[in-house]
Amino acid sequence: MSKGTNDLVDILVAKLKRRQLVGSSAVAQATLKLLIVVISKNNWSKANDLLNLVRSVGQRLIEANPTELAIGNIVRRVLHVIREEFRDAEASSKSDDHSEFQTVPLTTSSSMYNLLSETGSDDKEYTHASHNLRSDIIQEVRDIRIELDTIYENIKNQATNHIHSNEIIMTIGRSRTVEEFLKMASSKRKFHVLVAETAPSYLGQQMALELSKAGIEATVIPDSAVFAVMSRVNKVILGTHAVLANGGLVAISGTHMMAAAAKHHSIPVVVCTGLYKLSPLYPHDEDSFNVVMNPDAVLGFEEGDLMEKVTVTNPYYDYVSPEFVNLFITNQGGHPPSYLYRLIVENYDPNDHTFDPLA
Amino acid sequence: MDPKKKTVGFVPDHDADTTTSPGGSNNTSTVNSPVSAFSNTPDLNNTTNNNSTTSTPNSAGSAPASSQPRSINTSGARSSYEPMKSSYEEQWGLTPTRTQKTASPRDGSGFPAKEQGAGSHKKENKVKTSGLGIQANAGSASTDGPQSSTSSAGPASAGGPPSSGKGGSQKPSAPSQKSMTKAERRELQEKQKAEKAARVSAGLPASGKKAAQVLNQPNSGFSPNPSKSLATSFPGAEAEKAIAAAESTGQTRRREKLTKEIGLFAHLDPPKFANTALAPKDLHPAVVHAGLQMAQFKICGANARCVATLNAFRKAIQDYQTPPNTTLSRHIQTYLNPHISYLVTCRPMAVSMGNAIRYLKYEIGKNLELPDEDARALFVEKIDNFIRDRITMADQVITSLGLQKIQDGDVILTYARSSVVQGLLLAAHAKGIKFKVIVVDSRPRFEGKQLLRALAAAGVPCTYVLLTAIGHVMREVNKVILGAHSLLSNGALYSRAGTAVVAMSAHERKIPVIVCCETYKFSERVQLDSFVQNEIGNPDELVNDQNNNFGHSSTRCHPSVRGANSGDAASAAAGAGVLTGWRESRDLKLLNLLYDLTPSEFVTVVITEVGLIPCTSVPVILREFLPMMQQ
Repeated sequence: MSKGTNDLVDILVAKLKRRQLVGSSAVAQATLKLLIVVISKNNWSKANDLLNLVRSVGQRLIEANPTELAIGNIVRRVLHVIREEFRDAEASSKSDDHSEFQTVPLTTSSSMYNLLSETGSDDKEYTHASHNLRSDIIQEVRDIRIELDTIYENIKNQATNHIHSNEIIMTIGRSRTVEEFLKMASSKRKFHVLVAETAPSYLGQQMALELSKAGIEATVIPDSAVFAVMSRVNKVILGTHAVLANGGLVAISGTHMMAAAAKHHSIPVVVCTGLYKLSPLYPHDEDSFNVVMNPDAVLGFEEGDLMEKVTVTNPYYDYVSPEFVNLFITNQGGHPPSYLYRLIVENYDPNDHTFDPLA
Repeated sequence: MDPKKKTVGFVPDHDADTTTSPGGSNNTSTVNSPVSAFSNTPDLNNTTNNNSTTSTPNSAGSAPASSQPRSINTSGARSSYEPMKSSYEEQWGLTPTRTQKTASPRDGSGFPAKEQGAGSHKKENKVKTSGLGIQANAGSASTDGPQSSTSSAGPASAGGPPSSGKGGSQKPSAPSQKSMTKAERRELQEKQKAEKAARVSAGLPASGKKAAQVLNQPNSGFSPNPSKSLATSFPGAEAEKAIAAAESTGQTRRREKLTKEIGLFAHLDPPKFANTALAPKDLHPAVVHAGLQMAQFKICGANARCVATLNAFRKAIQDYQTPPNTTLSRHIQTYLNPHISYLVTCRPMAVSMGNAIRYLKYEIGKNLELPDEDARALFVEKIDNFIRDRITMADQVITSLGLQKIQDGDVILTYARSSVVQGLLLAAHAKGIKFKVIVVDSRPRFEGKQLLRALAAAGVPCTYVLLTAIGHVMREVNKVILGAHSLLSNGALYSRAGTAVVAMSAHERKIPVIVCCETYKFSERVQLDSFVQNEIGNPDELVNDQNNNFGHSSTRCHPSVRGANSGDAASAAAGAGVLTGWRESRDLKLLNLLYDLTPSEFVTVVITEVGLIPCTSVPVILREFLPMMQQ
């Protein structure tokens, strides 16, 4: 890796480690930007070289902040794009040799057609170099970037399909996706939003404030009232930090409680999320993606005497299992949780779920 | 300035007259030291005031202006209502508005008739001067005079209170005024100074007649009101006042905004603030005091409120004097009724209180023929017995039953604070059972902290989390023990908001939910959701600014939580009081729901003093108490 790009990686790693850069969206953008530089500014001739290069960068970034799953997702997307490009290049070179035969199945491993065929996409295949591969790959990666930039647009454009007039909607925490979604809907419909204040971060309060500024009738409720008012709610619309491969959510703490209350009242739970938050990882342990924050927010340090004697926990995220979610609204449309595996297959290569360097 | 001085001047005289306050002992709990005495006395004064008015005929001889004071007094009562309310708001840390409010009565917010109010105020001034004269003459006899312009009634009836005082509850109240001491006077002065400063900053006439009037008015309203003293007892009060004055918006508007209506809950009463001034006459000070404490959530929790009510009624009955041509047991109920409705105006009645009062009425109705003293003794005994049997003993039985359900190695989760649960956990610890407690708490009251303190002090290993983390902590829990505000006939548990979420989370993980509830909290009411019957708390409690953090730093917004993301930095910085300006925003509303309803399927068992029952057995138990409940 060239020194220049190495420095850039170091800078991003430092930012992630210091939590100067947080939030799925910001992290995803930064990662993608860095990867474009890595791909364009480094020398590589074979596919494996490039894949390993990207993997090693990805590995470092992920280790810097393992709870930001978006980093891994973006790296996997890029790896997937690289593989596709190489496959295409290979296919085209082969088709020069042979006839038009082979071209169809090679394009993707994610089609039903080759479910039963052997997964010939072994990494060793991608050893060919191609003169205009670099520009092709960078173009593809740029497309991902455009996708990231237009995510809010794409999601919020679906808003009117999901919100009817005079609806009562409940949400928790502050998610930009949900915020834009609701604001968009408010331009066409009149509805009421209940926002759980989301102690101890109180992001819900900010959310309510923002919504009210946009002219949406927003009511702040304490987290304790979630169950009490749930029976009158028409929809629960949630933002999330990450979506796991099984359709489970890693979302701000309190989400589980709200989703469970909604489930009890048979209220549909809708999750608005960009596809970049969809991770191919499974939650083997509910805590594996959680962060525990400073307990001062829960029990002030000024109460030192008390603090000495008790344990105070302030988890930042909740794991919400997929059975609580009825619908995911992504930039590609609405999907039930059961469909997520498909999106994962389409966007990520099964070989990239871990970042161990290739042979 | 003059009128002010006058009022101040009054106080000492008045003080001299009134030395001991019967309610004074209770006060200490209400507020910080010097104020407390003050706070109580005003109530008493109020009551006496009222009495005096009623008894004006008696005292007419002493007062040349007897007719005047009378009319004033009524209006005065109203005006005093305003400040009262305001001061409560202040005390909640809500509206800084004391000064505003004092001005506002003018705006006619609380007044049925503006002119009347204004007119009366003018009169007040006059009367005051006259009152002064009177007082000088009356000397020791002046009771109410100092308290207010309204109190001009006092001097007028100066001779009255003692005479009328024989009537009943006044007796204790009259001496109480004496407790207005120098300290109080000083406080008054200070307040007035602050007020004036605020006024000046608000652009009101700082000096001259007008200002004097304006200033005078508040005095008139305030001095008799305990609320004011309460308000000032809060550290930020002065500053708040200044701010409020600066804002100087109409109080009417403020009031409307305070009760910003939320469609679904439009049928529920807006949060209440105690106002002794609106209270009917002849209230016993102990009841007034209890009501105030409940309104301020100083007394909170079904058991505590019930005991406080019963104790207050006990005092009232003890001090009660039968009017001529009737007997105690026949008249006591009519005597107690205004007390009861007063308590309701302070805060919606707890189910426990309702049941206790119903029981009391039942006992009264059963013993109509008893001679007075026997009846008095009987009722007092019945009250004591009720507290002993249905609450104290019941709690002990519940504790002993509950102990069987706690084993070594248990991880017990509880929510907020219930006195029974606290007793049970402490007893289990004392018994030597090794268990761990997870205290789940929630905004805005952080009641669980009190429990946490008690448990930590006893050495029980505790974990403290907020309600949002319930999903995180629930997996290590093997028992959930909850308190109850009430158990309804359909088996639903009506308890502190958030209980339902806790019970649901436990139910979801198949963790047993144990509810501790005395049978006297059972209600024949049925309810299917948390909407039809509930209580709305002060919405400003949800605003996490400095005035409202309950000594808790968590109400600060932590930039760290959000990370130092550049985009969020601004919002995090503003996070100190995100909702501070909610009243100004048309679309932003706050809903502070106090209770919620837990469906019976979430509750595994209810521990009562009659044994461990499923919560669907509530109506069965209630049948046993049917005769009492039919009353």
